[in-house]
Amino acid sequence: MRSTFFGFFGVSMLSAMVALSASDAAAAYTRSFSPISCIGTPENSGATGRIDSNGQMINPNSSFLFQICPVVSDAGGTGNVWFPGNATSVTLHGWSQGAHTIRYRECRTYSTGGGGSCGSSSPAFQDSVGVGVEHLTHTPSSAWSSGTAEDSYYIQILLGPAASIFGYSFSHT
Amino acid sequence: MSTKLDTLAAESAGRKKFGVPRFGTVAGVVVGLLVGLGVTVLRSAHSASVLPLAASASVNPLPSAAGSAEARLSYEEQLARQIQAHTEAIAKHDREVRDPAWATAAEKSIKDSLATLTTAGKFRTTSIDCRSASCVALVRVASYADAMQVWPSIVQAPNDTDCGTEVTLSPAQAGVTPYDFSVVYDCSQRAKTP
Repeated sequence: MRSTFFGFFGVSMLSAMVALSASDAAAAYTRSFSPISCIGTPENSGATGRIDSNGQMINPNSSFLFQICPVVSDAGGTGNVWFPGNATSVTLHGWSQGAHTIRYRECRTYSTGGGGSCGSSSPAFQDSVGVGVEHLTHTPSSAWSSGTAEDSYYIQILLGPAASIFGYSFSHT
Repeated sequence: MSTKLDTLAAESAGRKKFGVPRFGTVAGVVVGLLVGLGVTVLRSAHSASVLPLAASASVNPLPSAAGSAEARLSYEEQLARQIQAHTEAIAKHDREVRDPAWATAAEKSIKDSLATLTTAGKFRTTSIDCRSASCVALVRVASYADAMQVWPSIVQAPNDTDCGTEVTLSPAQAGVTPYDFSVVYDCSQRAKTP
């Protein structure tokens, strides 16, 4: 009887643990992108950036650089791609040699055309990025979470003079 | 001299020493496996309800059920929803009490940010009104076509107030000239910033 109990209990716990840990490991995931697909919005500052041979987006100007960068979304409602409205965090990955300004915010264009919105960027404001790799993370604003699957999603990045980024990513649970 | 029977006896004793698997133990293991399998299936079913095709596309998780449901809205429904949200945001703004010190500074910041746009020559900011957690700017352009050209730069124009920006153009007014539209600045983040 005792061996029956231990056999039952042991195998039950083991199976359940394997099932739960495997499921939890698959629950959170991240999408990362290179900024090579970003485009400038010179109407905001007149400045243009460049992508170096390493794929980094750099602001070589003495003024601020504005870029908009694509985000995978379900435009068209096909239902089989990642939905940015569920993103739990947005992170920029940058490399710098000193104090630079990097800001960003989530934006969305309505699928119906003729309108869109951008969120507040203040939580991501970094006035003094240190030397080396920096990861700037914040929680997406309602500009994304209130969106529909068919809308077009992107992020707007503001780089101070000499600032650069080499990637951006989105986490989702 | 050992015999075959001795060997068998020794083997039998050995089995007794380490314990021959009993029927009860085997049954326990089998039931345990079944319970474990049940947990796996239940957990998978729960995951599937959140991410409908996650099990069949583990490397490409899907949008939430909410996101998929939104995709089924028609163009008219989506447009009506956006116009309603825009109208409600303006109504909410109208109910706010003005914080004079912040509002005056915010109005200047927004005015300055719009003036620096390279598209500024195509529109005229007829008014900017800030209260305590939002601002509304009225913009006039020559036509709906011009509005379609300038709204992205206005939405993307950053300002020192760090307010979110929102524009919804009404196609129903597309034939009206000049064409007026409003920009809503959501500055509720201001209250959360220490």
